[in-house]
Amino acid sequence: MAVPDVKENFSGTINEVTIGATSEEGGTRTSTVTIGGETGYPMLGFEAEYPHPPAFALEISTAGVEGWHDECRKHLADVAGDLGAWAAKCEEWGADMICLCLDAAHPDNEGRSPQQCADDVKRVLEATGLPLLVWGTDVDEVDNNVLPKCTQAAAGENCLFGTAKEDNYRTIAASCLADNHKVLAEAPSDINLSKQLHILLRDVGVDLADMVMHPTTGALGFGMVYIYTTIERGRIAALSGDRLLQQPVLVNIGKEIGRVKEAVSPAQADPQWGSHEVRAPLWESASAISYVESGAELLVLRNPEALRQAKTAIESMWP
Amino acid sequence: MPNVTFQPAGRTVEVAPGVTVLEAARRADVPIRNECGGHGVCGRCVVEIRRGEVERRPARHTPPAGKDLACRCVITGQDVEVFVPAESRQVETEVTIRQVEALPQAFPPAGAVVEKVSLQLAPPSLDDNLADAERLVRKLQKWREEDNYSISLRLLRDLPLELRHAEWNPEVILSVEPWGRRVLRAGPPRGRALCLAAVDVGTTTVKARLLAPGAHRVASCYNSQTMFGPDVISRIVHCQRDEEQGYADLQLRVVGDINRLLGELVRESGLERSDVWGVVVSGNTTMMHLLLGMYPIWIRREPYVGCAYLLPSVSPRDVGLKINPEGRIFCLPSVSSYVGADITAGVLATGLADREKPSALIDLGTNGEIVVGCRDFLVCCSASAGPAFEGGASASGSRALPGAIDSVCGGERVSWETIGGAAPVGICGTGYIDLLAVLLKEGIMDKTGKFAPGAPGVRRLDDDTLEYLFVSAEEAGRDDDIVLTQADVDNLIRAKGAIYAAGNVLLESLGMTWSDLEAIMLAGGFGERLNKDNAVTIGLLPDVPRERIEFVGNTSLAGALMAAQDATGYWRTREIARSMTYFELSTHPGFMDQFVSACFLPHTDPERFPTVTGAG
Repeated sequence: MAVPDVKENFSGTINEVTIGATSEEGGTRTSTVTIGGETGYPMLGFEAEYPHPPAFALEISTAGVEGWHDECRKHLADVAGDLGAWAAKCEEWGADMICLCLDAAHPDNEGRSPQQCADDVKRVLEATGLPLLVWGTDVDEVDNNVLPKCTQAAAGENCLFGTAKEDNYRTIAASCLADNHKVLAEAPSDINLSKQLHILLRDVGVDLADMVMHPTTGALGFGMVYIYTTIERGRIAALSGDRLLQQPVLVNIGKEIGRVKEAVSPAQADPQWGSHEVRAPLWESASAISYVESGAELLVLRNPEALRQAKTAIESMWP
Repeated sequence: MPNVTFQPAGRTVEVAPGVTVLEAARRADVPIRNECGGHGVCGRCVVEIRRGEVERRPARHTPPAGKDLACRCVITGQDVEVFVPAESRQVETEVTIRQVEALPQAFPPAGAVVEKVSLQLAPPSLDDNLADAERLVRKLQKWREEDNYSISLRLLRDLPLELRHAEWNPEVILSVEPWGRRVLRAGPPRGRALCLAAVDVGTTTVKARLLAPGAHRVASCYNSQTMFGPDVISRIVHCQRDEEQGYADLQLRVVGDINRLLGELVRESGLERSDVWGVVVSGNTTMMHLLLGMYPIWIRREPYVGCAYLLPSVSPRDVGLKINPEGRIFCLPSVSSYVGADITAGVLATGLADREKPSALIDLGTNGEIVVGCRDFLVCCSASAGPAFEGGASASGSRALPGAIDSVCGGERVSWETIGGAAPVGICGTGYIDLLAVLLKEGIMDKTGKFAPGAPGVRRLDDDTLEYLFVSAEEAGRDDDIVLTQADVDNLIRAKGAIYAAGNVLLESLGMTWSDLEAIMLAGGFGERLNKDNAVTIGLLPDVPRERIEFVGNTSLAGALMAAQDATGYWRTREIARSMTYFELSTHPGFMDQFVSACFLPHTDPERFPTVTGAG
């Protein structure tokens, strides 16, 4: 008896989004990153197309590594004071993209000016040929002052800028449109809220194909399951033809791991948890691998060792 | 303990620190307007603290400079003097009278819940020596094919004299009961009209109509329980807060409101309270509990059970209603703790249970209820919508009374019309529906209802807060601007989202969609000038051919009226209540998801509203 064909065919496809522009495309990047394009549920190579493996960005911050845990800091001791050197190091470690966080502009930090932030963006673009993700402060007023300067400074480079939120999307959308960047749309753990935000962005002129969605992120053991199922639900709707959910998904893991006690507590404080050197990157890479299995395409990490582990694992199982 | 003195009333009350000025005013019997239950939302309780210091709590509504909201000011250790300006005073909520069409029949019609009959009894003789009461019943049994009559002891004591005064030709007044008829009076003809009343006790508004020869008026006022909270939950919480006092407060308030409305109506018709012999009351389950003084607290606790849904007729003496003390009060039956008599009345009034094809009745009250059905089945559910569409708990909200903005048009300049063409005093439900649709179309707010900074009319109150200036104080028939706040918009969107999502869940459970319904009947007391397109534009109503959408007005009052005029209607409401299947949404797995996706203008799924979004 013949084995029945159980392959599922879906009407929808995840959007392909390219970040970065090489000199032919009017930018200065030496490489670009394309994510999305899948035609089925994650990892089911027998029935769907997976044209692009997930991309990994390493996070660098204008506020340095203050508050980052020791296992991250130990890799960054030489470069944390110099954004350019830090970015170049990330490229060396195998990152596909750089995620530049403008933390220093946050009023709780030094309140770096919009112009200074724009200069930071330029410095990173000069130091690395990788595509760039620029992440604001999550303070609406600050973002609205800082991000337009930064999109301008990066004009032509086709970066990804975030985050646009339901309460604050107009300014970032307008400046991304003006300077031809992609928009990172953040809505907390609910596909309806994601859809609503995508409609709002579309209403102010952003093409649905120019968005990447961030359903917010939870670390392994700390809410990951919620986000995992949100991504899954979104994926089911997207593949069934819902254009408002066909955006590729980003998760920002490194920052979340930084809040997980099990991942950041040094061995002398919690000896029962074993070697911190093993535990910290493992928590980060395990979270990342799980998210890839839920469908996430772009993952932001902090720890270069976690990046190595996650990339190795994904390469071995990517269909 | 500190003293709080209220001016210009000149009343002083001693209160413990921690009490709000609003609560102190209540205790001093200086009622201050307040429609949100003291949550700093409605902005009606503006006062001036003239002497002493109070602690100020944050409010969603910012009072004018130098003034405070009474509900946000907490008494500390100091004596305080408070001035209550005229616009904040509320001795009693105003009664509005509206003309409606006169009822055709003479009163009371035969078969009404209370009837009058003139009988000619054969006087007793040695050959026919039946007792007086049995003599009366014998005659009544011949008058109507009905065996069971009951006469109270109080009546029996007077009966011999009354019958003889009437020279054996008494006028008898009877009420219908499940077991037969109750004799309310038998005696010489009073020479006065016998009239009935229909009352709708809404969470936000109380309405009454007299059924009397020539009566053609509906009286309405805000439910003055509102001062204890804008919705049923906060009222029930008030009952728990101060047990005995709490629900006595609420009962006294609503009985007072009904008495005031009936007082106005009988006065206008040249009648007396004692001419009213029967009152049919409709309202949601909690309102019925509070009216009758039944303890309601289990309505809000799982598994959400009320005291009684099928209520007996009761004596006005036991409730405190000032009508003829021998009269009766008929309460229409509820279905569940959140689908009340207002809905069974609505089903009766609209004939939903007699239709051949399924239709829906949506009652857009403070609690939004939806019934879907036809003569073969009836299912219902309830979604807490809040009082937004009745003009309650909004910064410039108003009931549908003269001066309320009930229609809004877009264009170069947003324009409006008011009920009766009076200077605008506020916005009523249909005005809000229009306003949302217009602001959305004009790009003044986005599809989540957030105002666009810098759009015409949008002004910044502080870093985070925008509001829309609709009518400036100069143009308005009141002292301050008529505005739409972000909080108002959020409330309206939640309200419309809850209604739409509830209907969707109900229909999905039946394997139906909105387009399977022959008619969608929208009931509510929010003004008659509903613009269907606008209601669809904001996603309150589904995008179906517009002729299927019908505005049916206040069906709670209409149903009470029908039941009063015709006792078979009264019995029918009991059948309706028994046959309705109730869906509990609070435990429904799909409701929350539907709700979030409906909290968007018009909806997160554009395909559901093709004529609005252009999506196919």
